[in-house]
Amino acid sequence: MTKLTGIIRITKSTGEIYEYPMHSFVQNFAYMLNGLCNKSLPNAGVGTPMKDTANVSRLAGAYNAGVTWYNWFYTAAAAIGIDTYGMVVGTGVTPVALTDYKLDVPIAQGVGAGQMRYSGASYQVGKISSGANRSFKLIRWFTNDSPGAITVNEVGFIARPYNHLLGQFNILICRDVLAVPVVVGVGELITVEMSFQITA
Amino acid sequence: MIPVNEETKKTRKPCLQVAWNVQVYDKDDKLIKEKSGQNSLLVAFATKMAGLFYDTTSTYKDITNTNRNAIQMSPQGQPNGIPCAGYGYGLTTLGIVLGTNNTAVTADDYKLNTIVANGTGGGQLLYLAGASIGVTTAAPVSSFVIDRIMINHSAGTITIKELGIYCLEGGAAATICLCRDIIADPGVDIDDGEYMYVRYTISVTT
Repeated sequence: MTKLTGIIRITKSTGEIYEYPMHSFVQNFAYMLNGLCNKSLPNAGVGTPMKDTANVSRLAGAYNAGVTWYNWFYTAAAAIGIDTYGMVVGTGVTPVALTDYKLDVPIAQGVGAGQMRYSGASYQVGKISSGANRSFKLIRWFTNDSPGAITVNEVGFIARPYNHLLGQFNILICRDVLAVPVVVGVGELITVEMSFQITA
Repeated sequence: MIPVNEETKKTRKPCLQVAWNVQVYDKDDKLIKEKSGQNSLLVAFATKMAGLFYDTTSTYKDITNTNRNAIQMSPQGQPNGIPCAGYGYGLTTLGIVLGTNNTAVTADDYKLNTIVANGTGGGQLLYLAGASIGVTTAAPVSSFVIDRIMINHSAGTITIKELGIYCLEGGAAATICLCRDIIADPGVDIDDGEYMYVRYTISVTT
């Protein structure tokens, strides 16, 4: 038996490392995956709409119905300062619900109070690793240049699917509330990694 | 101090569950056999998933043992996804497929060991069109189903010992194996005139 597992690892510039099991794909992810699996669904999409990060209902398009394209374009490579998609962090502690469509309390990009600077996101070189456990990793860095400490309590990933008929929108696909909060002091940086692994 | 939570690290649960169920019905549509299992996603699935995020360089094998690159998603690129539902009658290169060899699963498996061909000849099954049932949510689980029916008109008994999902590799006209599961001996027999209903349920749980 093999399985897909996920892990969130946060490394502080001060050397502390926090590691959490990741298991909170939300309902939106199921819709996305369902759409990706289907060839013959109508362009209008599949099933009950998922929600974008503005709480607007969106349809998950099928893979190739009428040559629709469907992709998560650049989600893992969100540019510097982008806090609307890619990996995101927040301060909220509300437990995860399947119907979550955004972080509870997202931390905005910036240097003002309660804000953090979002780096450009990265996709780890090496990609799918070799060996018995095969994984890939998404990475993003967040710096606290605000006037005060910020406590990171939640981590999520916002995909940016594109369909040439449906358009492009931001869809939260996973959200995890951290069992142990990460306090990021002024001037400190955190490296947040999400790893997905096929493991025996 | 490095407050890594070693305990939870050791007990990582799947973040995406894949469960299978097979049912055999007789000529009168009466359920006569049933088996279930779960979680045999393969490296190809992880690689496809990596492609959904960005990757373009990881390689994995299609069902002919040919290396393929994960295709990056791009509006200018090929349509992509993991299409495996909604394909037609008779296809054994896409959708749910069955086999007769229950050699243990490894993460690097790239095909079923001994696939059952489509047809009415000896050892063959008629593969009906695959389908998908949309997402349903009943907290804490959100799931959808991919299913398919295979009918035995071969005049003999066929013993199913493995099953999996094949999907199309966008733009490459190749087929890859997303998951492979085995059924322990003695497997599940499908006698002549009977049919098997196979259902994969993919779910996320908060």
